[in-house]
Amino acid sequence: MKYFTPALFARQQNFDTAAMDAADADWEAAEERYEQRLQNLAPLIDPVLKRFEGILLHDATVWGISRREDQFVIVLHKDIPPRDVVTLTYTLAGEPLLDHDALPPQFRSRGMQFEYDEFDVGQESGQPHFTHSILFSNGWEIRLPFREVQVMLAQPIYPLPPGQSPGKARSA
Amino acid sequence: MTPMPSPSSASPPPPPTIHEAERASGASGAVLWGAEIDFAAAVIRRQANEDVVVRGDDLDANRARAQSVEAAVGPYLRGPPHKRSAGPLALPHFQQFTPPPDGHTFYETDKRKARKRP
Repeated sequence: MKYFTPALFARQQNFDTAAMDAADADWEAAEERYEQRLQNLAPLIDPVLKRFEGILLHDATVWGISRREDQFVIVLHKDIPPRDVVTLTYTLAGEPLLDHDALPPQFRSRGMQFEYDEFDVGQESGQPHFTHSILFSNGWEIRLPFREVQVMLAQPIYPLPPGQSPGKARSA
Repeated sequence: MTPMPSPSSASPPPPPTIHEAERASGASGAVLWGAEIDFAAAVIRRQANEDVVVRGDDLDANRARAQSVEAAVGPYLRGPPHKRSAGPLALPHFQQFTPPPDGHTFYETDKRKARKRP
């Protein structure tokens, strides 16, 4: 993560009033820099952003992460309604980087939820590719170089979201 | 010419209020506020995986009130609004460090406000 760094997230957890004000100002500045970066990457990055537009994965619970050869799959259950299941399937352009210790131990939760993410464009063997960096609440950071990503939304049937009975499930 | 009020005569902003809340469905990330509730009801609502929002014009007071609600539920963390993953109208919040309970205690800032529930 270049903008919404684990260190910046950790600083949000200092609850001194002045520290919270400073952390918020830094967060807003990071958002401005990131938006400027995305504008600079347009129109190359636009098709990728379009795929994720409006899906709102913050706080989504990770149901699974898997890989088969150059296919890397993340399955999430959204926290923000509509609470769809989101399957992200990346066609990798290189080896993913996985940092299990991105967050200090005191800020790692037991569960694994999607915190924040960033897109960028990189180079692999002279060929441009996209990157998706994701910070998770358990302290993991994943950086995926990819050529293509598919985003599939589906309604959960099992496991059901908390408080939802089978009778309330929307029929497919 | 109207004299400027002295700082001492300016009335302080009203204290923050706590409200039932829910997230809007869709891409906005908006927080919808409902009925005003007291502190105890807010804690019960949070324990039941529901959202609440602290509203008002004083950021420090809103944030402190939101923090106290979430602290009454359990160990918590603070989450800043992330425009692209939480929506352009998302609010900062406190939430449990390791859910359950799910849900959030949102709070308003100078620039970010909750929307009235339809």
